[in-house]
Amino acid sequence: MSRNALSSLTLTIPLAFRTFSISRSWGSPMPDFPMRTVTTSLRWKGSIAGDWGGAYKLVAWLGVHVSGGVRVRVRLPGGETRVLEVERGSRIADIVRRLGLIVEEVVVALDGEIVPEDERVYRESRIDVYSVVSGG
Amino acid sequence: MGRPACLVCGGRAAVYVPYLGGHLCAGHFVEWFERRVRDTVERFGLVEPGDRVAVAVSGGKDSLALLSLLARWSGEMGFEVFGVAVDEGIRGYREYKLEALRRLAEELGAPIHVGGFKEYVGFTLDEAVAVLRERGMEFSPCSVCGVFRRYVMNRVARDLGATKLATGHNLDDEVQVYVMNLLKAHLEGVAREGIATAAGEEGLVPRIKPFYFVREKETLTYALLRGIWTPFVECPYVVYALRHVVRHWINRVASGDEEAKYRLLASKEATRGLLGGAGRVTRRCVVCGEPSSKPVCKACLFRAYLDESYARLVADRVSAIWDSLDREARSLLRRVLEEEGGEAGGER
Repeated sequence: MSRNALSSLTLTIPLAFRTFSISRSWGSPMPDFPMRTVTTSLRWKGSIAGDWGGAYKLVAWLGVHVSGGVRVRVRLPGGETRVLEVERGSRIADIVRRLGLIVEEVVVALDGEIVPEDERVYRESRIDVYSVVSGG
Repeated sequence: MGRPACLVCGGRAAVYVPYLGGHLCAGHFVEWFERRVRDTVERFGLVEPGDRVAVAVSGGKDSLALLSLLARWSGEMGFEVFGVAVDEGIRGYREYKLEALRRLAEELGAPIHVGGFKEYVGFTLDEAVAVLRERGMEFSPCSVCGVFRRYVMNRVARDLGATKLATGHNLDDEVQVYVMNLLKAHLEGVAREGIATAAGEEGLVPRIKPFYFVREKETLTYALLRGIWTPFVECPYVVYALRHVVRHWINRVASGDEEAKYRLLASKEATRGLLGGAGRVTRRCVVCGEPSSKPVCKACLFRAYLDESYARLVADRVSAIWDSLDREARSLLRRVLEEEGGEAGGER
């Protein structure tokens, strides 16, 4: 019984890895674009209607949504750094509000890339907050 | 769980643009921003071939981004461009901003000219604030600074032969000043603060605002994406500014209603239309001779408030012309001397 369970587990994991591909690319969208650009994408390559499709999707969804909080290191406009534990999948806007800031008054970079406020955080990340107030 | 995507190319989004009702990636945002500013310049005829454009630069993101764009377009559009900066003399703040400014100016090859408060009005802002504190802060530092900055900026630009003075005022600045003017029932200020001032006022360099239709958040995003470096050093006197309160209030409202700022700008333009635009400056200040809508300009009134010897000079000049003033001018001068204040419309 235990041998069967183990064999099915070892079978599932390689299949799960084979079915998903994680691609990561570095580059700049324009020649004079100074920000570091890293794009990570998780692509589904298996057949959704296949025998194992539902199981793989469930594994992927659980990995992204149900594994608790993630730690983010936030650098505030004045230079102060804070470490926060946030729900996996939290929106940038939620994190900004939690810091006591107003969404309209900041621009946020997630791991070095400028992102919109409705971007979500799924893994341990670095967040840089820039303030629109630059003196004058 | 899909990530926001660029509405042009479907790539990873960097910005949400309420005006477009969608997201843009970094590359398309930069393209959109530049096109929007260029359209503003061309549609409103802000710059013409042969102009000598002085860009009022503070060292902040808005003015540096503006200098960078105008310097890039100057050859193609046939105008000259240079930067004009004001050193207010705020220790621990201005030196950092001026440093950023010098660095960018070197990269752009656009010359920067600096005029100081000390040189033009006789004291630094730090010295002025010390006097304001002694007198119980009847006026905020921002009121004094805004008036002196406009005064110095105009004089420096005029002395350098500028035909236009471009400022980095953006949509947020415009709606903030609009709300501040409304709070003070200062309708003359509402009428005056448009995208450009009328040409032809002798001694007053016409002002233009190419960022009139872009949000503050968009100029910051653009500056970051273009690598226009500006350190985050907040002016130590910002806490005294009414603008500080109004800015937060508008931004709180706009965080839940992304179109609010556009509607405020639209209502401002509608109000200006109803008011019939700004009145022309037909006078010269009787003390310093600079263009002024009133017999004594605000800069001289503040100088008199801060410096007793200058107050005596103002009193002498005013008493010398008092008999020649008509009733309207006298009542205006009395009112100005009694109620002087207002920080709306400061430079950035």
